[in-house]
Amino acid sequence: MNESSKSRYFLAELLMNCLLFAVSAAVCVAVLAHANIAGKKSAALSMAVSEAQNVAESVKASKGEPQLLGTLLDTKESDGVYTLLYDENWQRLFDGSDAVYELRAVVNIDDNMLQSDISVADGEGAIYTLRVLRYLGAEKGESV
Amino acid sequence: MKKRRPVVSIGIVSLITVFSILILAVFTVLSLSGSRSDTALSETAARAVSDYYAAEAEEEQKLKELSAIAESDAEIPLEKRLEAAGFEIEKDNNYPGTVVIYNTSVDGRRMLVTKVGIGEQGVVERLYRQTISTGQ
Repeated sequence: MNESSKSRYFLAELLMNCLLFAVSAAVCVAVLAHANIAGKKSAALSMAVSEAQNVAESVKASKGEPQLLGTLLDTKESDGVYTLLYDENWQRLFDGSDAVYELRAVVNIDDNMLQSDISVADGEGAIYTLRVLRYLGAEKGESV
Repeated sequence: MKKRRPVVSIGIVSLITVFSILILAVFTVLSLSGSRSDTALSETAARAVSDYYAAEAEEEQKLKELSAIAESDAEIPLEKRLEAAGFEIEKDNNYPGTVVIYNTSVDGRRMLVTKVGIGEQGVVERLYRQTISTGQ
């Protein structure tokens, strides 16, 4: 076998392997991108649950007093709706610029029952929703 | 004798490629399984929180019902009215009034136990609330 034939075989092998690697890399990159998106979504869900729970406890602690709830959430009320904005790292935004996530808490009192519908959403839609009820007619004992 | 070269040649380049693809595939599978387990964990945690608040809302509704019973017409004794509504009365000598205990199912594994006191004037007071494991 002469040198020219050897080089031809080597080149064919090299091309074949390059093609195989390119196909495998394309599949793997697509799967990794999918895993990355899924990871970001699960992180967003965890944070949304945590923030919604925090607001729910603040709503319960406020006992339906709008001013106290506004102080606890560090935001202003507008027709019984409290809006909290967050950036992509879940840091609170107070001016509304570059907000990625929005938490809305709709609070109302109906027949001595404090109700609050809390929803956390991003640009694509709702991530998590929570409904909180608190009966205001009962006094709070020491153990609760 | 002339040595024949195989049609499909396996050289060092092929070995390196196969090894690289194998490593790439392993890391991809690990990454995917990691993100899937993260998603499953987040969804389980979210469901647990939703279930808890749903049970708590149900418990608050029961408390409102209890309060309405306590404030209602006093011709029938309070204990009989409560028993008729399906509430369990607990004997508690430390509390100057009637103590009612009721359970609300959170999910298949947890239960919310609430202890409520009803004072002399029919004022309802939250005494105790605890989530217990039902062990299922």
